[in-house]
Amino acid sequence: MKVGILDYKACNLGSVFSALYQLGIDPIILNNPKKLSEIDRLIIPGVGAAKSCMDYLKFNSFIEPIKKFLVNKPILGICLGMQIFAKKLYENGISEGIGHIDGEVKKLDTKIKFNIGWKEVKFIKKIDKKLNIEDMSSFYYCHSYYISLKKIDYCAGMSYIDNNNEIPAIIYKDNFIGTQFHPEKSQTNGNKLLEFFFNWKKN
Amino acid sequence: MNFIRIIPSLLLSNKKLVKGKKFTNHINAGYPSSTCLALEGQKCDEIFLIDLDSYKNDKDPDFDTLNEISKNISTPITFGGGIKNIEQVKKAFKLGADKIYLSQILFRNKKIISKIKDIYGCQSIVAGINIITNDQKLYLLEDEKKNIDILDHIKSLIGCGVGEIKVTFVNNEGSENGMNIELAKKIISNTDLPIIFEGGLGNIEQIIDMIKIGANSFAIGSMITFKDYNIFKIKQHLFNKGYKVRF
Amino acid sequence: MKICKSCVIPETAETNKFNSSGVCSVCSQIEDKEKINWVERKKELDVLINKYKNQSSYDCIIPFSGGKDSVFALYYLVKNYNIKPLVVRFDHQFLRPKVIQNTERVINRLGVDFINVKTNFEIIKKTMIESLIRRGDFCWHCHVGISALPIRMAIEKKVSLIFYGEPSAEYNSFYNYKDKEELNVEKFNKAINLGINAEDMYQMIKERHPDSNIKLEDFKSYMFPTQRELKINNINALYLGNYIPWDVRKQVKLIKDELGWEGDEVEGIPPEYDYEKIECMMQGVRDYIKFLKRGFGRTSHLVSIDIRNKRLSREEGMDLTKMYDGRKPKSLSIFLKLINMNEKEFYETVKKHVVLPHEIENYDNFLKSSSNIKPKDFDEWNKKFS
Repeated sequence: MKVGILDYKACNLGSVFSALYQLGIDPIILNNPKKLSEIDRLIIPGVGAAKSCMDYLKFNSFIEPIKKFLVNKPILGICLGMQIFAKKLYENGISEGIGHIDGEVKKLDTKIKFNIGWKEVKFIKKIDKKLNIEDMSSFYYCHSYYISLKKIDYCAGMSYIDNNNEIPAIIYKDNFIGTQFHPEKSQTNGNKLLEFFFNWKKN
Repeated sequence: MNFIRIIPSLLLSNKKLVKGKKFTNHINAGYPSSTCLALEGQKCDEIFLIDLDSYKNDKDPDFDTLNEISKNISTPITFGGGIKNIEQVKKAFKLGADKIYLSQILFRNKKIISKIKDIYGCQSIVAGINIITNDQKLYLLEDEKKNIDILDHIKSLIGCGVGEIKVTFVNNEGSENGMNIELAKKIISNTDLPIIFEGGLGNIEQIIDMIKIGANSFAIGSMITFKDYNIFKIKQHLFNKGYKVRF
Repeated sequence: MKICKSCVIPETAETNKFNSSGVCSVCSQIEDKEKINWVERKKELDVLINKYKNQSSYDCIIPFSGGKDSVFALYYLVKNYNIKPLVVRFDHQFLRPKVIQNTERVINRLGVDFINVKTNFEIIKKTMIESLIRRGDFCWHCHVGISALPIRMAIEKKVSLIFYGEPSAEYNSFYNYKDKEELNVEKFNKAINLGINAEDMYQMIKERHPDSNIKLEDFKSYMFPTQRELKINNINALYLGNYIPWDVRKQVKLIKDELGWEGDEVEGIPPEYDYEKIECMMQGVRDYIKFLKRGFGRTSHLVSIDIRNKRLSREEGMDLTKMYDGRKPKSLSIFLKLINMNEKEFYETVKKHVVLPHEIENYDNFLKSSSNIKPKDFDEWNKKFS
């Protein structure tokens, strides 16, 4: 099982690497689209800014290879790594996303402009019977933009970030899973999700 | 809605953890990566790791220890200690940081905030505000001669693009006499960012006093180093009193 | 100090949470125990054991003490699955003669391989002092040894399955019955090592004894493997009590009848509890410290288990507790001699770790009191440590 981590020069690469390493994986760091052929599944980390990330991916010809990879192999997008699969992103201007998910990435409309800390995830759909995480388990968030979905079908879990506002916590479509929270920073619950991803759709 | 965040505040010096009172007199407090392993087991919500040596001198922060700690845990790490340029920030994120803590550099070069936020996003920056109270007047540790208006200072930091603030009550630090409730209240009601408070906590009641005025995130130092309070026990006490904590 | 409305454990017990009816979390957990589908759990156990049978030199590792739980776990697995286990004991070096006898008898009758490991006793003494001062609990070497050693051995011998016996949900709330409790890095750091890893203990001792020639390698037996090592070696350290319903009284009777296992008297608890915590000479001191810190002792713990299993009423439990909790053990004198501390210093040390809201105003009564009851092997203990 070869797991790759996409390095777009602006993410918490160290943390994601460590999380995988502790789960017994030897991750391959991808800084070249050609290396996609070496791996079985891909993780795209977060902690970045939308425009800077999309510019890097475009400039280094990552977009088409990622789309092609996704046809047959799973991708886990974390935080920004999930948001780039939307159609449009509104951070630092407007950027075109990869477009796999019909949705837009907008700024949070809450009193406290940043969602930083642990929140419970209410699972509304089961991605797979092997995903064994208890409902209302907590995960770690660190963001100020969220993905606004056109179709609720893609949403497997939601989190309340204040009394009135709910955001998609975990989304999926075909071979793609995206989490707004950071599984690599969510201790035991996060590890469960990562291990699920390693074994998801294993033939 | 929000879980209370209990965040161990760890000071690094010469590859070891130290703890002090009022930013001086630091004593050995444990081995970094195994201590962090213990803290994670006890369900701390995040870890604050500040390199005291690089905070005081002009050297690079201890990236090796950051990496060693990161390799062992899956808990969010905020890293800092005299960070002054974008190269150090990039290296930190590559080696295990999830957020960056800036304090001193904010007085010399606020532009670094926009450089960081353009690449990593505002949510990756925690701005440190180290407050000294002297005779009803407020000063910052990094500029003790200048009497400041704390709310203006915070507003300007928000304007530059930080995502989170850590307020340290320097007078109270290490005292275990509680925090500056009045000042905290004022800051909370005028700030739209998540705020972490540090400085003065010695027992559960003092944490509860702060929760009652709207605080929800606490960086603790002396309380876990010099006593048998561990994170799990602190959270258990808070839970038994009806507050929202995660285990 | 709040006390559970159902059993007699107070709020000072570690991990205890009270619900709105004032019932403690452990009592609630025991109620959940009945709702578990034990048939399904047993099937899972069958699958697990089958998966790893004959894959390695041993089918599993059984961490052993010679006490009721590990003896029962060993007996159950050998008799029901015909496995070839490697029985491993971290010898904390305070083992009482009866448990050593019990061990011989059980190992001989069941016909299994047995490894008993003793580590440097001078270092053990230093860890006892260090953990007493820092955490008000002198048993660090034992908590850590019995967890780390069997797992290190499993990695060494390439054995994937490890079976401990009693699930902690029986007496505390770090885990509940719905969880499949595992001894992993999280549990080790959350519930076992007092927040001190081997590397930390080494540094702390080095600081207190700068002239000693202690090295980090001397603490190898206390080092818990990393999560990566556990994953790569496919280590599963499980609790038998998560797969079959744990019933202490029934199990004790079984091992007494089938293996000739014998109980023993324990300092400071009612004589009818001759089956719990009989392994350690320092048990009386350990229970005494618990009483000083938390305001309740071993008797409270034991009667609460009986109350939850409907073998005792709460009133009967309270009476026993009042009679037995807090008695100063005779072995305190041996303990103090061993760590070179006088009684007054002992109380001053423990006082720092008292768990609120429990408080002790005055230690004079404790200093003055003396205990006349001594277990039959007490003179042997005295001889061993003088």
